[in-house]
Amino acid sequence: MTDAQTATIGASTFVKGRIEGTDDLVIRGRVEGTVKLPENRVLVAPGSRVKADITARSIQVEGRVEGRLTGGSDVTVRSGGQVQGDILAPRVTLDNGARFSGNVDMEQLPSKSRPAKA
Amino acid sequence: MHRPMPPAVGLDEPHSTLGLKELLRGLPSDRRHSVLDLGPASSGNVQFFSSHSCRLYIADLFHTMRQRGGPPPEQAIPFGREIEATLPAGSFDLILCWDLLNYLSRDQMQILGRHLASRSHPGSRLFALIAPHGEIPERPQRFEILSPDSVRYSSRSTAHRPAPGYREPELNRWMAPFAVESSFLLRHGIQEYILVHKPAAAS
Repeated sequence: MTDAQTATIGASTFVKGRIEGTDDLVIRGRVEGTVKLPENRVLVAPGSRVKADITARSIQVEGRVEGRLTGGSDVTVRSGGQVQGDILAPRVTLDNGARFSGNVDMEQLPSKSRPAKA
Repeated sequence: MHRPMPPAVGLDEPHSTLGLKELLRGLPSDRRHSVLDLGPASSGNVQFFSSHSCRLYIADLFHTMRQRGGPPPEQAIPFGREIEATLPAGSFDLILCWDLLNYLSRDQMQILGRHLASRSHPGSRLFALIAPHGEIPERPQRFEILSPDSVRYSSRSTAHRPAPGYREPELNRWMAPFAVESSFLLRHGIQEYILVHKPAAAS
């Protein structure tokens, strides 16, 4: 996720509010609010802190998230990542060393929130 | 005799399980079941319970409590408050304690039993692994279900401590209203227990 179609919130940046768009997103700083990118990928990078509900096609957590994660395709919590909240996605991966507390629901999401893939 | 518990330092080993299959047997198939996992999160458990049409809540009790302010205190009242703050609301059909009970005192176990009783219903079942003797890792292990017959134990602890060696009568007394329904002594020395939430006796 480092091409031109990727937006980045830098390590020293704090965003409070609603984030929407059509680019992939890398979060390296702090975010509070809502992240809604249902067609795109979101990476919560190591060292970042997010207090927000995130909706995306694919979500990968390597930092800390407090909130509900809704992945149209998948949600992955990598080793060192921490999630406190619920995860809803057809595919959920929790690496050894990932910390998670909350509900996991792997029921199929409604088709509206699942992006069509080319 | 001092016999060490097999899943030793840094090991990442699959072990057979007899209790897991038994735990799932008898669950009515006409609805989704809710499962409370008190252990650390793992993909295998998520996949396993998802394939059994269960709704899974992962509490990671021991680590969450440590994160909230250090190791579980011996005093009953702070421990009860921490438990209350950590456990989710709801009524669960299955509760996975894994090896957590090995790390609790009698008082803590009684408090945990009461809090779990309020988050379950008569007929709810609880799964626990008890080390009857020897040593256990310093902290609870991570358990990942590989199949209904096999669970991977993994521990990052380099230190060990003596196992409290709890027995069935103690579990019945301290975990009330849960009572032992069945138990299985595994080849590697661990005793698997299935406890069931008994209905209150009619007065």
